Amino acid sequence: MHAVNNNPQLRLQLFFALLVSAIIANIFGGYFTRFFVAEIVILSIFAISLDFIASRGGMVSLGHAMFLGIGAYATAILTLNYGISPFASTFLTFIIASLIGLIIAYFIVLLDGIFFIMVTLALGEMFNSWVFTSDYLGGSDGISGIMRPDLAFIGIDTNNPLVFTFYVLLWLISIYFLLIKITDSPLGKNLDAIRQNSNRISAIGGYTKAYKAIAFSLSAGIASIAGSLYVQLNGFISPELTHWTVSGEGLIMIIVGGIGSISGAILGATVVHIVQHELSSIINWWMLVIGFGFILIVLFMKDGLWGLLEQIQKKLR
Amino acid sequence: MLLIQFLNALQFSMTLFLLAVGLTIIFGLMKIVNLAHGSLYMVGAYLGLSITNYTDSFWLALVIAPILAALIGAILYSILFKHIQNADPMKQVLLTFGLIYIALDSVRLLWGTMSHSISAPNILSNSILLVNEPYPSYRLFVIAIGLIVLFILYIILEKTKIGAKVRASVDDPETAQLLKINTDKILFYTFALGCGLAGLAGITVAPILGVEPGMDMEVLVLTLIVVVVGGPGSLKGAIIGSLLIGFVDSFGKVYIPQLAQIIIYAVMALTILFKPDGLYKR
Repeated sequence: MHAVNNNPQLRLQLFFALLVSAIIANIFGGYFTRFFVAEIVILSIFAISLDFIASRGGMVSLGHAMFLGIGAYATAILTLNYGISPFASTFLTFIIASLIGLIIAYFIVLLDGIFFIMVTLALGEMFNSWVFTSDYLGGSDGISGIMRPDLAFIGIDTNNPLVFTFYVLLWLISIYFLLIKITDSPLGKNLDAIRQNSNRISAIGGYTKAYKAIAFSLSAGIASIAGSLYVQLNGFISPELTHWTVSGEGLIMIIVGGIGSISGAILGATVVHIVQHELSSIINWWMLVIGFGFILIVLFMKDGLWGLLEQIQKKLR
Repeated sequence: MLLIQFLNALQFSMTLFLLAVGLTIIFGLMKIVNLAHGSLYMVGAYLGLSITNYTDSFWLALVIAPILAALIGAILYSILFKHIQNADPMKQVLLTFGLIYIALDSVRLLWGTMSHSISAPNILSNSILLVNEPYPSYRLFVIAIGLIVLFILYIILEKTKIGAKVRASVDDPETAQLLKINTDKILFYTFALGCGLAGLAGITVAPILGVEPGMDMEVLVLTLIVVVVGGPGSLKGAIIGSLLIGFVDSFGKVYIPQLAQIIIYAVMALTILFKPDGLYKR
């Protein structure tokens, strides 16, 4: 995995630039733009959950759509079957997905790069095929009728897209600063050290497995928050959300943005989602173009857009 | 009844074997997982469809489609895979992910989104009586093809000098190079062969399952599981893995349909837990 160079100043500048654009788009945009911004924000949360384990722990998960699905389905079931408020259920799904993530992590975090990818892919597909056949989860029809949080007691209607987009944006901001804090904490430093040379860390008595498992579990929880918000945005959940290609596209987002800077992942999610949306509205064969795009990006954009920004910043000095 | 299911399971195992053997040996040689391997299976089936339609000969399709798939593999190796051998696994995987998108949309553009069917050649379109039960002879033919390929690969890999060079390159590429083994050439040919076998799997399965966009996704994950369970990089691992997964899947679907899929993943999970290197360790 490519080593990550931290540039806290640029990281923060990029984040605020993206944040301001989102706020402006949300305030001045129409119904569709607001919905679109909310989608990008939710995808960004998913992308940074992938970025965190890929960059800090060297773990590339092609099965993270499972946690997106756990967040979405758990929210649907908690709100519809158990009458728990949507807001509380987002927190609950975080706990549920983190626990499931921790159990899975216990078995897989020590697998080597490519094996980790294959095993996460297979686990994700296991969840996907289970969801498709489960009557309790609505099978291939999914579940509909999921409500958004009721904030009427402070005079706010979350069914208003302007409000809901700000609501998901608040989630992104909280998660972002939490992850920045963790990245710069002893846990983050330990993860960096493990990624660079895990044998040496074991030799000096570090808990390689435990640190990686905690990181994976946290990432699973964050992905589930994205799932929970996604299902509240749309009001329904379809099992397609748990397909492994969703994880693949998430990974493409962090490659485009640049791995390891967290802000880059948000930039990547924004760019990829906009390009996908614009392309698919112009041509039918957009997947062909996107496929070539993926290949070119992987081949030629070493540090993604983040790397480009760093170069520009250097030249300006 | 049991015999019929046994044969169905064997046929499915052989299809999985044709797919897995290429993937596993490419993995052994290059440490690359080609997610687009399933796409070559789909492309093989589609090319076979067109050849059958134009020439009215399934036999011609059976020969030419795999050769074309191998050619596509050779081109992909030369322009892409050769250059990403030492890239990190994430980039390799995502590059092949891009190929999946390209293959899927190309197939849709060229052949449409409808599903097609190929009819088995006349000689094989009947059923044979096996212990008083009729059984489609075409499926027996697929089993035979799988066994023949298995036999030929076994002879080549285990009994010939070329096979020894391939095995040496899998086990220790650097030492192999020191011994004047041209590992680049070996990679090129095995990559093309693996893709050709995926194409063969596609065209042989087409008369049974039909041809449709998305058929690649269904087999891809199963093939990956075969590779993980069997133990990557070995012919024997691919055999053991495809038989195990093929039988568990086929019998599971008959006796416990709700849990069939889950059981396959459980087999994989147990393998990872107790035999992380796969059932057959080289």
